Amino acid sequence: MLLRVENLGKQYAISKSFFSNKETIVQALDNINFELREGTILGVLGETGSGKTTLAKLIVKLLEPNNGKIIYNFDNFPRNVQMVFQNPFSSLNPMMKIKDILKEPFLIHHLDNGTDTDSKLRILLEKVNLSYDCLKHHPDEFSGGQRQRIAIARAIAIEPKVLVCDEPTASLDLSVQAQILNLFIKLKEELGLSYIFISHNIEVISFIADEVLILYEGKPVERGLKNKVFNNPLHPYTKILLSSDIGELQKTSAQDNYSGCKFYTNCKFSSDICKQMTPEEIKTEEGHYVSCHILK
Amino acid sequence: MNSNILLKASKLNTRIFYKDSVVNAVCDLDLELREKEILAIIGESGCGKTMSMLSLTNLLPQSAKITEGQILFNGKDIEMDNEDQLRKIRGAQISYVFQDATASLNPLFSVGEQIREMFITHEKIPSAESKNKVLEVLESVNLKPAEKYYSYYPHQLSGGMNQRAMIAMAIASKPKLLIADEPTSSLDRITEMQILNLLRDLNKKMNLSIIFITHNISIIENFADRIVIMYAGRIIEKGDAKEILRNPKHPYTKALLKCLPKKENKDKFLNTIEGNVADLSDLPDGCKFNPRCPYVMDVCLKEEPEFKKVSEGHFTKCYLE
Ligand SMILES: Nc1ncnc2c1ncn2[C@@H]1O[C@H](COP(=O)(O)OP(=O)(O)OP(=O)(O)O)[C@@H](O)[C@H]1O
Ligand SMILES: Nc1ncnc2c1ncn2[C@@H]1O[C@H](COP(=O)(O)OP(=O)(O)OP(=O)(O)O)[C@@H](O)[C@H]1O
Ligand code: SF4
Ligand SMILES: [Mg+2]
Ligand SMILES: [Mg+2]
Repeated sequence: MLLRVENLGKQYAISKSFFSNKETIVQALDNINFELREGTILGVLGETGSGKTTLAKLIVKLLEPNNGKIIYNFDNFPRNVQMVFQNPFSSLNPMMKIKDILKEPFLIHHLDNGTDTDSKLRILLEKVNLSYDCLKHHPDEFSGGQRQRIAIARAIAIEPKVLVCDEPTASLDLSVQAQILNLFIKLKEELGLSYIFISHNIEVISFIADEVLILYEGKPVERGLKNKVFNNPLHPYTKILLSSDIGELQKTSAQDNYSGCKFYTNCKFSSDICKQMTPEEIKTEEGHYVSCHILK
Repeated sequence: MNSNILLKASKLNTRIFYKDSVVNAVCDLDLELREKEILAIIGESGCGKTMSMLSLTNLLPQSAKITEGQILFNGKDIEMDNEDQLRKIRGAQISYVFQDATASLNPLFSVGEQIREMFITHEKIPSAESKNKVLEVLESVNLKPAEKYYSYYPHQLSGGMNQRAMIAMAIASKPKLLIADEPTSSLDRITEMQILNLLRDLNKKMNLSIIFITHNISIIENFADRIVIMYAGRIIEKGDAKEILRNPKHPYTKALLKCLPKKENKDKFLNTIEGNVADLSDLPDGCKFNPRCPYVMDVCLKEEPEFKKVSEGHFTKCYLE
């Protein structure tokens, strides 16, 4: 076990506004538990706004949790945890040349020895299918997908233990996406790299993940071994998410003022208890956890 | 279908001037969009999709210039150096959803205020009514409850919320043409469907024409009327969306469609296209795909192929029969 997340929670405060004159609290993440095992990929799925980026930022310590904790079972924290951010347009320092951006991790962690680093950069660029020529340019001279690949090159440069990837291939064409996903698999097998891999693309998660975690409005709904969850989805939300017929989910405005299951207003299996109580996570079989009242 | 041409670009060329080199990012682009049509653009990362779309109303970065070509919008010439005319067209008639969602929202104003500004300046809606209009449009992109998101600042939104705020802003001005650069790339499948349904509705009821760039092949079939496929700054295949997805002719298009991950695929590695992504600063003679093409012939190395008709409304640039 490389990393363990226990009862993790994060809130944001939204200051008062035009419509309300008191500060409101957004519970972006609540009661998240999982383990990341060495050499595995945990795929994180969930609708937009469900807390995925918040989770990623907590793991790389860009945010502090309000509840719970993350236990890192390895040394050398910043070196061994790298992140690829969701927005390639704001994740690279516009003042630096690509050469310096890619060299930086070697310098910071004292792994730079001149000529050797140069050939490493060459290999890195090949891996993400960018030309050597790009080193002399600045980030704003690149397309979205090119920037994303530069960010990926930077994150894998010094071979961390954990790579946190937030939608790493969302801005790539199918062929380059396939090359990057293959690269991730190779790094996992050859170096034992582990990943927290956030994606909206179910086919991508299905291809790459060993385990999955599915979030709904900041709460875990279902998690476990990918094959168990994908072959036998149990939570009503997961079932809709994985089915090819997704037309049926009409998101109604979520009302924050009830204490039950966040999926209650959308769920066709719901009963009174769902509105009153948050379901606890239960283990339905080895490596398969679900948070839903109907499974009791 | 109404067959009036809304937008027509002919022989459009856009160059980027770097310190010590010049790159042809858009090469001889011919594009036609009929009124009420939805056109999808797909193509390799860095092949010039964004540059092509920015060229249409000259929103290019400083280092890039249109060096040749003509653009007709609604039958009228768009004059590339007439800033007054361009400003009137942008926003009011052609609006954009940029690939970089965060850069196009002002970090200092709440999302609701920014959209409200849009209504007041472009739609001349009285200030008192505008608030309700904003709530309506936020609701339509599923930022619910809208009262809550009205007062959110861009940095308080998630990636996909930001993207939807951008879409809300772009459709608020009721444009004739929406140019959307990967507008649903940070949305989950269900929300993406809802947004596409919304755009379809605007297309049907308000005659909104749409050009959208996407890497998500699976949404095209049900959403777009036509597709354009780009490689190395050029259009290499174009035509009816369903026809091209079922019967791709260009070797690049064929290879690209094979890279789609599928749930039932149990192979350890995904299919890719061998070789390097086309480097615009170092392109071969002849067909630009020739270094990677499994069918390459002598003629492919010498001369660049012209468009050839495959069937009614399906064209490709390739020498293969
Ligand atoms: N800095 C912030 N201040 C206030 N609220 C925030 C902040 N960052 C995120 N939030 C809120 O937290 C929730 C979760 O956001 P997060 O970015 O983690 O979602 P996400 O799952 O990554 O979504 P997406 O798929 O759209 O990127 C959202 O409701 C968002 O509005
Ligand atoms: N602001 C810029 N300044 C200089 N060159 C640029 C700029 N933006 C893009 N380029 C270059 O122009 C070429 C075309 O880029 P463009 O952004 O049009 O690609 P794209 O097809 O949209 O790719 P993606 O799918 O990755 O967004 C690329 O080779 C890129 O390096
Ligand atoms: S023109 Fe020749 S090289 Fe180009 S795609 Fe066709 S067969 Fe391949
Ligand atoms: Mg996110
Ligand atoms: Mg682009």
